[in-house]
Amino acid sequence: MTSAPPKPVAEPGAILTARDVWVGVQVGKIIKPIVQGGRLTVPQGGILGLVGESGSGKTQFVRAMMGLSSLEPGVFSGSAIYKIGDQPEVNVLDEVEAYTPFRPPEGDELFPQRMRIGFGWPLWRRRFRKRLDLLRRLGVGFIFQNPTGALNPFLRIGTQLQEAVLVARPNANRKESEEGALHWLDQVHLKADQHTLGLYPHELSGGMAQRVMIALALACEPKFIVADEPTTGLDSHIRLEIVGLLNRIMGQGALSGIVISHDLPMVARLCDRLTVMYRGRVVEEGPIEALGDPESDSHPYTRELKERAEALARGRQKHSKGGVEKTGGTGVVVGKGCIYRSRCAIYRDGLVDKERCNTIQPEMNLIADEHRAACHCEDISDALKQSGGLFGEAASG
Amino acid sequence: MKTAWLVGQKVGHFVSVLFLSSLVLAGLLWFSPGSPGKAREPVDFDEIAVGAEVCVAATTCGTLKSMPAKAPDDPTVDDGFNFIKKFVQVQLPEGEQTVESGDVLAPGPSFPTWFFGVFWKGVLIWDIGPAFNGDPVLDVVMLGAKQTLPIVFGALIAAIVVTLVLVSFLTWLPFPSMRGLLRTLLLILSISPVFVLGFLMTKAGVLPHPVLWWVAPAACVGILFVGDSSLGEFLLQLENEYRHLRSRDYIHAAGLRGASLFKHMLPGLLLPLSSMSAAKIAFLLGSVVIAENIYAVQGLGTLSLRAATKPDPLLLLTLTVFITFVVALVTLVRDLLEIAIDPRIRKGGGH
Amino acid sequence: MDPNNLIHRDPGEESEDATLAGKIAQGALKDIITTILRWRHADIRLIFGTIVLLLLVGFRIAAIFIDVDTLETHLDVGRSSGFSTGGGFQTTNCRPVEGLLLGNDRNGYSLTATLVEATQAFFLPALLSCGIALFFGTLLGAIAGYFRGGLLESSTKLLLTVIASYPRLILVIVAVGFFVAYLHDPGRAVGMRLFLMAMMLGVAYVPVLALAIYQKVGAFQREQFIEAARAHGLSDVRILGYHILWANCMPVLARHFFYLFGYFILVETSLSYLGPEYGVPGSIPSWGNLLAGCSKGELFSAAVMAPSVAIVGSILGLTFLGDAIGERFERGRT
Repeated sequence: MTSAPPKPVAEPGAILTARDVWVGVQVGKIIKPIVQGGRLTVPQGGILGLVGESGSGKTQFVRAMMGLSSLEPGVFSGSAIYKIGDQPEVNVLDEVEAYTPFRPPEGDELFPQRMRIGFGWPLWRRRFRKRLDLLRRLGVGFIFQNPTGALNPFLRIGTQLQEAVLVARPNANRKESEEGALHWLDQVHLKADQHTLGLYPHELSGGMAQRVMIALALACEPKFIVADEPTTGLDSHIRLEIVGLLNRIMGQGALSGIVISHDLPMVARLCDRLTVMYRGRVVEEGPIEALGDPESDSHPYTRELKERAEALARGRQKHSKGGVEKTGGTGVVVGKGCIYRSRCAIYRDGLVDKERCNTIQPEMNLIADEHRAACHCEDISDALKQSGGLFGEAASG
Repeated sequence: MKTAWLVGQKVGHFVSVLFLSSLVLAGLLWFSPGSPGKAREPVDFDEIAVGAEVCVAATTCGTLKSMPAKAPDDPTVDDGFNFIKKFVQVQLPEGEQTVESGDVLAPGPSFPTWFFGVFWKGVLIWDIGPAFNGDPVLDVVMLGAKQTLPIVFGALIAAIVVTLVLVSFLTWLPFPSMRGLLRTLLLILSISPVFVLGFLMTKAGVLPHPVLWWVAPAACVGILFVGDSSLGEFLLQLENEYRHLRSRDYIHAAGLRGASLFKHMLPGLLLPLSSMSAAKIAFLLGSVVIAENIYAVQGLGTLSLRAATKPDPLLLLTLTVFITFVVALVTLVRDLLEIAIDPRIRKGGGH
Repeated sequence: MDPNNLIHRDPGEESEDATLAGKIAQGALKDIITTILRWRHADIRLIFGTIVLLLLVGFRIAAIFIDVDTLETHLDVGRSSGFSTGGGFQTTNCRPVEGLLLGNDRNGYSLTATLVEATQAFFLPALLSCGIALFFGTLLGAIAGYFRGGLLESSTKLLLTVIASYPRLILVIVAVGFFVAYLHDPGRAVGMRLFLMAMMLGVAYVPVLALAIYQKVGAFQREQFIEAARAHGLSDVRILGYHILWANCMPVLARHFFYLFGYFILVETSLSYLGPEYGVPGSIPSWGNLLAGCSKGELFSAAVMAPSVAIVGSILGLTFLGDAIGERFERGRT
């Protein structure tokens, strides 16, 4: 009996549910999978932090969920369902599997496979404008990574702000939209006057540009915001201000959102849930407290990130022990088994069944209430304590 | 007032390039076999006296020692009907020589006299001198320009419009492989030299029509904007720029805001378009020579061909300087447009 | 095969079972395979361009030995005088003759032979113009790019702008028409004309090449290794000559070499088409001449199509070759 695959549904109480998202880019004859089976859940009113090293696919994942993938072929599988307020559920990646010529690898395959010629595929991709309109109507906003790149260098920021104001209030006249622009400038702690409105993007400092970016996103009065690396590349004191600003805006509870970063302390401050990506795969999904608590279970990679951040904060250089791959690896890899095993302290110390880690890719197992991690080890926190972590001395297992 | 300074800088650049290019070309012509500095005109003895500078060959000059007189042993009677050979004495560097009066030439102008006195002064008072057919040079040039400039600018506009249409079409076309095929076909068509296209068109029957006067210029425009890789290069560059621009973050951001993408992309496209136009105009003015020849249009191209082989250095200089003027003008317009559109140039960095 | 290094490898996976010699062999083999693999992705442009280049070179060499007379075999062909008067292309002896591969040209000779011999008209002058353009273009571009800021850069840029403000064809016509107008010996005139064509086109192309080199040298100027080299005491000339130009600018030069070669073919054939005062006269075969001569043939006859295809094909092939070689070496460097 052939049946159509079940229609994806949103998780109850979640504003964004993304499942099995695959994003690939064609390199020569193969499809390099940038995001492999990404999953994400943002609860209503919650802020999700998406962390991972650079090259782990965070930005591509989020862009895919918004239908903004500029790669060729980009996102070719999965679902991203938005349930915002009283509006009906919307799957941005609707029908992608019907049009796409590619499918995720099955069984022993390593790379996504082409299953048909897919003449209609460009037609689906071309509908991105409709998808953007859909997102805008739903109330989704995006804060881009590089503030100077995301502002049109030929137009004044006042013009661009007024455009954003018109999104939320389409019937505003010129005076009203100008007032709106000034209001949002004030909200991001910039001087709200005509002079600022008349500035061009290249005349702004990094911090100012980022604030303008945030104002632009807020002026659309969204209910769901995605902030892509909002503090990367800024000086530390500006970083603190921006984080404070975001905290004030997003912490009000009316906004849900995703914050992408590799700055763990900021994520810890801003977010209440955490999703960790490693080399194209999501390895952990859970509450933010799991990050800080050595007693609670957490994926070994998350622990590693935390330890590195702490070591960096303490200013001490620690060298990872031999036999574990140093942090050279970024970028996606494919392969059998758990891709983290080359860096995993638990694997190194033999505290887990190595055969399983070598051959079977771990599923996102439920390790606590609303907390999943992709690891074969049953009691992670114990194992980590035994192994002493990445930098500690190993107790023989 | 940075804008004023920038504009002044660009205008100054325009003037200096124009002047220097005329200087270089004049120098080139001066040192060629057909140099205007050589002595050519026979001297008019009613206007000179003993001691004036005269020449006996193109470059051999000396001082006049005596007025024309017949040879002492010549028995012919000077009664107004007989032709009497008269002779003069000329002091040359190698010594005194007796030369037939008809062979004595007036010396040619010196370079500054010719370049500044004849040419540039002529430009300023709008009267340079006669061309090889007797008409004033400037009239001849302007007549030719009336034929050629519409063709060249028509070809430029046609290239821009057709390229924009093609780029939109190619972007719309959802199948990447067909895009590549179409692009390659256009490239092959475009890489044909202008004269091959023109020749094939005449063979196919597109010939200057006695009644429909616009057929010849239109055909010229057609082969100009396509041939010699004009269309191919335009297409390639514009597609690149468009794709580059399309993937920029601020376009995505504007799309998310629902803003008009056209408004956001226009400045980003206008600048490359004007740069490409400025580069192409020089090329088109060169290729127009051939196009005009095929369709027998009496424009600047045919004129330069004739001036080059006649040879008429003054006409040639005027023609080339005029063409350079048009090229430099388009470049100036492009520079001014860049100043107007791109705020980074106007304001510089700084906050 | 994993050329993009995507498959996950455990650390120390290979070192367990390979001896030292095995590892070295593996490394060398990998290098050889990678080099061959690069050529495996030979795209159609490279193939087409190489074929065209080989054909051109082959024709040119063959042209040394072909004297058009010798290929004419047992044919009773009425020959016209062969000279076309300037401006009026009246010779129309396109009577088809049996037995020849492509038919005969207006003089009654075999068209194939004439096509092959016509490569003589442009091959060596094209090399000359490429040489001039490459030499002066590299010199000026490197100077302007390396010694930035100050009089040297701005004066070089001004000079290049001045040269670039003339349309190239106009410069060539001025030189060819004007300089040769006083030469009355037709034999010398042709040689002089081709020489001047080559020289003028080379000079006119210098700004294009200089701009490309200027940008490349400028980009490298900012790299750290220049500072390091200077600190080591290497002279500017050596840094510029070897490290920047030879090691890094070769793809640019190679690409422009082929572009200019194709462009010279275009110019030479165009001028020969215009007439004997501008290019090669009717008695010497040239593709432009062939087109000009056959005014009575139909659109799709061999006499019309063969020179057209030859011209378009060679320019296309050389342009493709330039593109492909430029891209290939760029890829290999990074």
